[in-house]
Amino acid sequence: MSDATSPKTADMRRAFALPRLLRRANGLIGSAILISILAFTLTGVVWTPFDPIEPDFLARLQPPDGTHWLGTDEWGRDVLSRILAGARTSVFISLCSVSFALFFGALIGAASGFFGGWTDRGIMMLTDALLAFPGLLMALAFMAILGPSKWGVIFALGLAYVPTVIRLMRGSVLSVREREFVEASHAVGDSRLYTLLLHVMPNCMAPLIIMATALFGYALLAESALSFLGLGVPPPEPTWGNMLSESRGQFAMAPWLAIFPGLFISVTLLGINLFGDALRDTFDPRMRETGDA
Amino acid sequence: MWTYATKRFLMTIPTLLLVSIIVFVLIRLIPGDPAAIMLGDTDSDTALEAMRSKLGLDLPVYRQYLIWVGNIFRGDLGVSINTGEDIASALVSRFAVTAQITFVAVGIATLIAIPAGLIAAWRQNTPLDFGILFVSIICLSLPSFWLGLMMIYLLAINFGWFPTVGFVSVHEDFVGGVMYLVMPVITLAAVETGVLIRMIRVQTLEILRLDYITHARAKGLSEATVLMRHVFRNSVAPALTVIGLTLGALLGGASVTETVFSIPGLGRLLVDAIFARDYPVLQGCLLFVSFVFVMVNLVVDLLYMLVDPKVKL
Amino acid sequence: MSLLDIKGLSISFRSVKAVENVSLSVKAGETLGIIGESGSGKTMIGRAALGLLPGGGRVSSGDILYNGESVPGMSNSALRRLRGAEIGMIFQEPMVSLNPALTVGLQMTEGLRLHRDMSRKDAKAAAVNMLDKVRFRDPGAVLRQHPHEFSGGMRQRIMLASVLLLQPRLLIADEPTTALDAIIQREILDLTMEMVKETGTTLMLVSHDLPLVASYVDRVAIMRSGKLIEEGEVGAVMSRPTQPYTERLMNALPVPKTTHVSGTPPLVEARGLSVAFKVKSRASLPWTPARKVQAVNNVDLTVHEGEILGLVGESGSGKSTLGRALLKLVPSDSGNVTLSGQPLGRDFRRQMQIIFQDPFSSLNPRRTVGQIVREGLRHLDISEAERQGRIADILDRVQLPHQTYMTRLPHQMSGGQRQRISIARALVSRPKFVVADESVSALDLTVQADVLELFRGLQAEMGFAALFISHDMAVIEEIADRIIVMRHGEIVEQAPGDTLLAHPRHPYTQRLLSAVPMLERKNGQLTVVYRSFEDTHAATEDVADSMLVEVASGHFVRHASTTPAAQSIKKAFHS
Repeated sequence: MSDATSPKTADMRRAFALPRLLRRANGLIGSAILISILAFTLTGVVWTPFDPIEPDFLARLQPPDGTHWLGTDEWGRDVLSRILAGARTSVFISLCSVSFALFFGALIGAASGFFGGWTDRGIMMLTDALLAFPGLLMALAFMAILGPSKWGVIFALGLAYVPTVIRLMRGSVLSVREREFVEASHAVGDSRLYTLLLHVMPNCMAPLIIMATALFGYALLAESALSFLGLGVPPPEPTWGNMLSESRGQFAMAPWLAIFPGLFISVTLLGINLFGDALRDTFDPRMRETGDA
Repeated sequence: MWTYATKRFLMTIPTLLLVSIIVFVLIRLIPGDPAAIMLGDTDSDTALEAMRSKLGLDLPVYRQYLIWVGNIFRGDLGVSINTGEDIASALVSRFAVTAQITFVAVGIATLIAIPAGLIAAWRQNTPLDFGILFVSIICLSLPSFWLGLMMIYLLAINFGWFPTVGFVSVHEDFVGGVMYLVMPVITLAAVETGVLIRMIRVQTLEILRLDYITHARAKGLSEATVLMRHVFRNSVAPALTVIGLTLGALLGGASVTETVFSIPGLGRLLVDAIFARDYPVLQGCLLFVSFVFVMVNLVVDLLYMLVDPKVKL
Repeated sequence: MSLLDIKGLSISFRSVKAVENVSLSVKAGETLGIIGESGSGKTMIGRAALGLLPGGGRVSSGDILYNGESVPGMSNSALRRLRGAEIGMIFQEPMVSLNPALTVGLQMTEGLRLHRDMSRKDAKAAAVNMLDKVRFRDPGAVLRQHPHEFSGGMRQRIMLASVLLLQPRLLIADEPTTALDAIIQREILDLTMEMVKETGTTLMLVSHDLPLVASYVDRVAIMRSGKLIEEGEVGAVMSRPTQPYTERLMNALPVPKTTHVSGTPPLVEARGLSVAFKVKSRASLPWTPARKVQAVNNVDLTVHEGEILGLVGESGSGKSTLGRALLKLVPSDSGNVTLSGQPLGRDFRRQMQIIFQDPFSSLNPRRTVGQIVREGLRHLDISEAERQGRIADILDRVQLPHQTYMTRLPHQMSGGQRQRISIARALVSRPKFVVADESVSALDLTVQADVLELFRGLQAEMGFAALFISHDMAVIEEIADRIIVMRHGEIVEQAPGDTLLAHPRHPYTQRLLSAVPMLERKNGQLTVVYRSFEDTHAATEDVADSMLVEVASGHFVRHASTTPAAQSIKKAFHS
């Protein structure tokens, strides 16, 4: 009964104001960057100016010019073509690993939070133990098992992020579970599964979407990091990370080899971060930041 | 208060136990027979058998685990397959290197982020706020390996201000050691500063909305007093947890940064162990890193207790 | 000369006007009530007087003069000298208006040390003195404690003490008791008035509750949607309101229902119902046994067909838990519930429904009104045509024409409308029994009156029985045929409505009733009075060994089992 609009009303309004996302400066810039990167990636799927994998020994280590806009590497491969092809791999890996983590994490987390009891205690204990390994370290350990390959990276990153998603989902389910409309569903005699799927889960989506955006950024970064360490996608298939890794030998003479792939990673991350901020502001201004990459 | 501290301390025991099981299982999941790797090229089945029994691989898995845990308590983590080095002492010396860089980097990040985050929130929606936010989001978006490489290219190769890569202990040569530290520290601190500024800003915004802040202002307190006395403690306390997480994660080895600058730290040891399929080292690293992480979080929670009066009982 | 002079004040938040052209003056020494419901802008006036409008708000035109000086025109340092020392402010939520990280002592003395330039020791002595005045037993200890160690009422007393400590000339109290239980609410208001009179402080009391405030203030100003619609001496405004809205605000006062105790058969019966919750404190060791909190303790209860049984009690009395235990929404530890004499079978949920308190959390924000109401029919075996018919019918009955509202989403509706949807969802299956759990408590008083009237109408038409739970005696008086008073998980008194109102026997019931403001017409003047009761000494409070004793037909009171009346019942029981 206070004069200020109650925070709950404000929340509701926010949840239904997706178009507002674009009215925010960070939402607009973020979306613009992400759409450009997406267009760039799709271009890379169908067309690259040169072959990204076949060496061309006549055009080794050429600085950026009219033919090779972003220069060539020590095998004479066109850097722009490799970045285009690398976008495909990097984005694919990030999308797949995030989907994997979201799917299993949300399912396990929701069940854990909603049903409670011993299932919950067991799952949470395991999750806590898994979270005792920093994210990238977990991925490294999985890579040791799965071996460096595209699918290895996907599973390693996916598995590494599952505990985080479980935690988040369980938390939101626990809070939504206390809302009265869930009790109303019990009161009309709905089964617990029906209540979970129809009333609880849909209302846990906002934090999940925000988390998905953040995870996509982490995954992109982690994929590059793994490839950079030589534990990600093996050459010759280009990714932004292994291009950086390969650049280390020559970059005193050929700095463009390091500058451009890194620039693409940074700009993409900037887009994701801006977009994620706007999402967060739009959905729920009180959502907390959670740490590591 | 002591009950809570005791409880929090006891809670780490099952976690560590579970962590050790996870590490043990993970290592066993790695494809390949350690005995075969140790022997190198050999076709002799008897030699393989002998090696397996020497390594204890013919024992039941649970006994292998118990023996391993028993040895850990005696401080014996085994020796490296490749170099024969004692793993426990390798971990300690590598950790000392990582810790130097990490503590300095996280310290710098905290010192920059707390005032920046507070001020940004206090001046919300002003150019100052947007400026701080912009810088922090840029920091956050730079991959550490790229930032490292760019710094090496610009500051070390072009300007020659710092040595390119490598590490010298500050104990042996202070000035030289510090010169080697500068770039890795900046690399690590940049990302963390970005994360922390945003986190503290959001916290502070939330606190500033609360009635007790209006109450403090309604008493006629100056903005500085309101910020320092009423806002600071409440908004920085939650950030402590994130600082702890960061510290824990970085102490576990910033493998990427250490690779960029060729620093012989914990992260590099771990990556090398993966490449060399040096399982005992890998196992020791994973265990040690998670141990450090759990312990840092324990310390952070206990510190938090000192800040949050609700836990004092 | 007036102490505070508000001249044509308008306050806007971006393009939205929160306050429009309000002129009002407060003379030194008087007490003024500013009355308004949500969105009336009443809070903003007080905030503006301190130059403390929340983010985005600004004075767009007009002026506020304190002692002849313009507040909006003041420099920051002049404002700071004004705040606390000249104008003090008490906030609504005692739970969030004290800093949780700092001791009470620090928060009380910091203002003194700033404005009066006192030494730490003198400031502490002054604080102790003031805490003593607001009736803390051990003020020295209070200073060393943190806010979370106190209850809401105690925190509000600390607030009062810490604000009055600076001896401001004007005290602005913004809904100071809204978050508190009725009995404590009156205690705090009485205490505030006492202190204000003693120190000669001018008081501006901001509230949504005209009847509550009326007996405390000299003048009232009524606000609605940012405009001042009526102002004057309180007796005059109440006796001869010029605005229909003012009249509606007063109509929120209870008009006790003429109760009919029907001879209808029992519908829902609970015998020996107990519910306990396990509570684990943060500072427990893994092997520390969980503390048990007995929320409902061995309660017998009968609801007859077609009657409204009112259940009243303070927060924490276990009343909501009892309502939920009847519907098996919380598991009970012992006791049983029957419906028409039968134990609750598989499909009892078609017969027994619940209406919730919070209109914002009781509706799934992602579903339309039609879908939400349809949920009530999910487990009924009826044709689609009948389903649609029933949904349309119930929506019309709760006065939300189905053609308009069927496809709306909850967030597009007001609190009162949302509560109607909640009612429609519960009633669409035509249950025989409904639990209404604080179903009007979150609404503005005028909306509350409308929803209560609707509920009563529906009950008369559809003939269901109801357990109506509320912390607000005024609401219960207005709607219940029979009333049960609950405290600490037990029933302390139970009687037909008119009996209970006229002859309450238990001291706790008496205190609850005497906290409800009543209208009385004296020589053509309407005034607010409070009931007072003679101490009956009949019942004893807070005795571990006690039992319900029937003192008159249908009138039960909890007595210590050692009192003569209880003894005789015991004997009759055992022989």
